[in-house]
Amino acid sequence: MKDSTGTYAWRLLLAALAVVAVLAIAACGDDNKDSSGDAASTDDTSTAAADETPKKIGLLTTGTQNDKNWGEAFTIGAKAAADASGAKLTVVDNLNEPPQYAQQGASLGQEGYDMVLMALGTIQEVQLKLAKQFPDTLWCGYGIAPDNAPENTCFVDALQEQAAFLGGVAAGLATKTNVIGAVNGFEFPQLTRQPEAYALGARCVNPDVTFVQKYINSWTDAALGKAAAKGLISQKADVLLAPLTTATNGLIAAARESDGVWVMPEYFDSNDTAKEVILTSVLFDLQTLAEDVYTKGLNGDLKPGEMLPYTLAELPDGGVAPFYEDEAVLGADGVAKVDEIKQKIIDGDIKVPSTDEIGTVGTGSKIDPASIGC
Amino acid sequence: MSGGVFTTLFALGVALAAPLLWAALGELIIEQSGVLNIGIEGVMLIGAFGCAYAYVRSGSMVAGIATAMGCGAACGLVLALLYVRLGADQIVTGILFSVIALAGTTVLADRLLGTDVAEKTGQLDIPGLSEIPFFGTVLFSQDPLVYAAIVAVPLVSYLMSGTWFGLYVRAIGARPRAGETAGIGVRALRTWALVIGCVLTAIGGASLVVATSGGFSPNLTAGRGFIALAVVVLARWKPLWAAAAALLFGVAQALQFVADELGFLAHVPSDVLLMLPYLLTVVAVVFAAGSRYPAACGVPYRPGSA
Repeated sequence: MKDSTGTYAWRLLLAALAVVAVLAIAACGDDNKDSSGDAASTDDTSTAAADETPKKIGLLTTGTQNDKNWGEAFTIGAKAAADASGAKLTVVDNLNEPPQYAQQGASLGQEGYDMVLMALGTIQEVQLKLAKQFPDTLWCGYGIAPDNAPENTCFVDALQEQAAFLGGVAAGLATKTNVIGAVNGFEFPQLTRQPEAYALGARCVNPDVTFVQKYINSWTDAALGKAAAKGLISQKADVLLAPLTTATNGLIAAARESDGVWVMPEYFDSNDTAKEVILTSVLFDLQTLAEDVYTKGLNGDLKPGEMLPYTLAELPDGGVAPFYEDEAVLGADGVAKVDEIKQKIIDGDIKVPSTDEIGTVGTGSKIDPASIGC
Repeated sequence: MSGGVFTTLFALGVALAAPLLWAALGELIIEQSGVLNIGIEGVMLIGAFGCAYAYVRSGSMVAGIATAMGCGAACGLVLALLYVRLGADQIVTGILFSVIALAGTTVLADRLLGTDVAEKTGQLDIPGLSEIPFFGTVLFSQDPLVYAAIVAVPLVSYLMSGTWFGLYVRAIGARPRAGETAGIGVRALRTWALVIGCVLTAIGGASLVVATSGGFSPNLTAGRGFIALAVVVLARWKPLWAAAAALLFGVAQALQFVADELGFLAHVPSDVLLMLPYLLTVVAVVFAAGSRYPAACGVPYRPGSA
């Protein structure tokens, strides 16, 4: 009897501790979410008409709001649009699977959000279902518009092949072994176009380059990223593109353990993370893209089911980040060459193949660079 | 050339096996005491986060590993409270522990660590030995926690087979009531087994951090704890066999990264190679049909009960 009473007391104590722990974690999470949303809504209320309810916009994204990567880039753009328009912004991050997007999207739909941007290229089915389920919300997704897209949808796409092509140009000029590589997340056209364009860009300036790559079926598994990078380094690859999120840490570790190997992260200028092995970063200026699509959506400037492709010309910070102290690796002529080719892409003198043409494995090593204006 | 490929294959395999081996060594101690710790994935995650936080903030790998060990010990005490003291269902509790650990480390990493990484990696070439062809690269050009894992195998083997602790742990894992009759404190010993096992498991999480520039990302362990459960079954609770089984999984995982250079695998679809370690997990579970878990494993023990 005494023992069971003691056990009961232990259970009560444990339950209380569990509740406190869960509340503490929840408080952290809520605080995190509010930092992006409520600040904007507070500012807006003061500028909006007294009887006007601020519009509500949502961002569902993979990665996190401070990942110096995809998630942070979209969050910055969404916040800028919310600040400028007075809308209330809710960011739900770290979503990786379609069911997570369906669940969180339905929640925002039920709460009457005016516009939701779903920042992942593999969840269009979920986007289309939510658009049917919640016709009063504008559902925008990252990807190519399908035929007969619902009226309350829009589709955005940074033409990532263009910036990745420029990354390849830098890699082709920097490589000492004439072997460059990429460790990729998942194989699907919008991802695959990046390493393939990278290979083509390198061949544009260095016909002797060969390209090796691995898909690890993860954005975040740094141990696999490192193993894949070491496998490529053993094949003499010395400049590695990283179309990944936190798995990039594995490539950085592999480069640190090898001589003369450079890493090229994507989405954010990551030079500060590991200056000694990061040559430059491939940037798609997703911040500007996100800000622009939210602004257009909130202003009613989008056509039903509109497709918005963003080129380097429309994304001022797209291309490659500065080389900082690693400029010497390319030399002044090399850096000038990268700038020159960027301008040629913007001017249309070099036509980087579209996703349809370069979105499958192996295409970057087959297309004749001369045929695109190199 | 093919010699180089196999060197790379096994060097990568050993590196990928180390976290599994740490976790498996910890789990086999725990399971032999009669506790089935499904929360192994959560313990690895918490260890990894603790290591990353201390490593990045202090710049000291030793501080990172020590913090991971402290986190492991704390996890062991919490799990002992749940499994041993309160007699909670070990499967449900273990799963929930892993889920809470995933959520907790994700939030804490987001708030406290962000994307910061340490300034160095952990690779430590052993002078002289690392120059030996094949074995030098495979065994002596790794991270400190890989070397330590290799050393830990005979130590754990001795602990479980050559000391009173191991003898008593195995006794209460098979017949706790008989152990209690013989004067062994079943609850206390299971608590010790959980603490020691979780410390080793947490080092497995730390080894992922040490090997990859010291950063942390949500779900860093990516299911390795669950694979370690299969390693334990495949190894039939023997530390030496656990090393072999972990190496098998590691090499299977590494195979995808050198397949292009191995002629006979060059045309195998990459998805098949990605699937291989998990296929081995299924095979291990099938093997488990012939394995005998410690008789009282997974069964809560109440003093004085029949």
